[in-house]
Amino acid sequence: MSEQSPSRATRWAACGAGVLAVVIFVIWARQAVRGLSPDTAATNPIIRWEWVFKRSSTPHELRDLTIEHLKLTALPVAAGLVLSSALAAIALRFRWTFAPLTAVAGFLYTVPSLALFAVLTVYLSPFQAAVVALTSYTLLILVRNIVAGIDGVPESVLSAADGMGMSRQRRLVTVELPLALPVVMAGIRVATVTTIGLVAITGAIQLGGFGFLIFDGYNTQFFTKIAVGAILSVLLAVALDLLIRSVERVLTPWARRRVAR
Amino acid sequence: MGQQRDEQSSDGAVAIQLRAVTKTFPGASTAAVSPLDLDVPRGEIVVLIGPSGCGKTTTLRMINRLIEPTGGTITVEGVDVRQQSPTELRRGIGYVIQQIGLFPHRTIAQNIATVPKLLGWDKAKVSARVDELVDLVGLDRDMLGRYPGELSGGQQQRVGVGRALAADPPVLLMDEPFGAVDPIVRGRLQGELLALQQRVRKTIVLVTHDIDEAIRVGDRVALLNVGGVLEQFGPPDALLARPANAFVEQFLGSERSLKRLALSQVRSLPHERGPVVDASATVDEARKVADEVGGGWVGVVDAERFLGWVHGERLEDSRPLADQLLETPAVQLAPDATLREALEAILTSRSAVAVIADEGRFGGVVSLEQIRRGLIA
Repeated sequence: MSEQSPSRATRWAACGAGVLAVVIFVIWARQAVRGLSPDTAATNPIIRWEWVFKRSSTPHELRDLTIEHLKLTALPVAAGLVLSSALAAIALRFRWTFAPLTAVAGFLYTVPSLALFAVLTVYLSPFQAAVVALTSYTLLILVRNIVAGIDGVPESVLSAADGMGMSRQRRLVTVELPLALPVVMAGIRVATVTTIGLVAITGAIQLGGFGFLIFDGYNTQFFTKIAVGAILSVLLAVALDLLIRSVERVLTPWARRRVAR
Repeated sequence: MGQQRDEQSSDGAVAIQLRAVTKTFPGASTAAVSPLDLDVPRGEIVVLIGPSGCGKTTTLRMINRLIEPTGGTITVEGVDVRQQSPTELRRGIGYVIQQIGLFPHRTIAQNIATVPKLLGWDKAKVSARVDELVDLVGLDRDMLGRYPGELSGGQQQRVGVGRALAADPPVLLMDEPFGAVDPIVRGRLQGELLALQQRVRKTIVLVTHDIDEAIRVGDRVALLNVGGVLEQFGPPDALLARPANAFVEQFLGSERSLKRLALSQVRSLPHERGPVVDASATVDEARKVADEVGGGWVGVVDAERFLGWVHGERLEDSRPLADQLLETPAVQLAPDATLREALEAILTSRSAVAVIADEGRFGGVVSLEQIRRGLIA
């Protein structure tokens, strides 16, 4: 099994190399803009590093945008998880509802996000509209993964649990949910990363987190803002992906040990 | 139904009783189990065997109500299984399945502790019991902290048996418990089950499709035909010696006599001292014995100990018998050796008989003729 996933040591080495690269880059960039004033346009035709490193309001702005981006990601994923759990429970209890439920979720998924934001802002504040719309996009992935996770619990394990006299509830809580966890966590990971990308589009309704930089940069033809917004959005996605992966590893020690063998 | 009871159990106590039990699955035109009567004596291993579709697994699963019977009654230790809730009933019955079904996310210790925890035992009692069971099924205690994924198939099956025995249930149901392991491990696990049974004396109902397994581990074998028809029920030797009908005969296969060899012990044969003389006998006396048996081989026994073989035609008058022993080794068998082992010993010995030795003491001989007569009897 060790061929399928990189060993622990390789994984840590890769993470370390990544962090080191970022640190070296930042040191190099700061070095490059030393002595330049905020409004010179000299460092680079694409990214003006002095805007990032010399402009006094930049750190403050970036912090606010990060918080907004995180809020617009975490809230929809959390709400989506709660809603999807309920929908998955219905789908698992009444099998025939699974197809219509995923059909509806799939339909929501295909609605163009810009249109959805626009329509929802008629009735809701921009922030509420963004959360509702982004939540609807997580449903398809989450419902499908929760159902698949529970379905994936081996028949023999259920049979053994029943044969030993476990009640249905106890079986669900102590056997089925823990064993479904890896698949559910994978769903949460995909939903989170997708949402981070979609948050940028809420820039169209004056929100957007890092997407705000992208929209603003586009409108003012200032490419630095577009680049910074895009890069930070990607970095945030990678960071959250890693974070959720490590949470999953902590929660599923049995899977890790099996790989370690 | 060609049901026959060859032997009443020693104490006559019935642990599990099936009376006119039937099962027809919804939508099925024929019954999976037609009215079935079966008594499982306490402390015995009863094997349910038969071709696919004979309802053996269905019958087993009706005992702990994983499948509800359509009709009839099942009692376990005198209590109708329907008097308890299914979960309560199942906590009092050990259950082992072919795929083992260990919980992959629980350690070995947690797996074994499943039923005691369901029953609400306190921590100290559970952990003492887990240690006890790990020793009982022959696993190392340092495995307790591992996950099932880290164990071999044979080890997992041992954990499965330990988990089923955790709350010390009087009854154990085993559904093809050794079906998923390779033949070598299967043989070893069968041996371990028999050794374990010597110690715990549970009432065990075991389902298998392997006739050799049924013969080896079963105190009694219930042979079912398609639709849950009981064709014959009795000790394995009785089935092999006197198949009730053509179906039974065909199912048991063409080597019934050979299979029986593995079931009887040498001690079950009538005692025969064989062509032996005392070491103090004269050479003439030995020659006389040799002539009587025709083969020429005569054993020399000294104060209950078998010394070796002499051959009638090669005896010299001048020397005592004990000095003329041939180098041909005497094949010796313990009284609890099987007839199969005796046959092997006879086939490989030049004297054509095997010597029985009970911890060194001479206990007679076994010949091919004796085995043949033993099988016919």
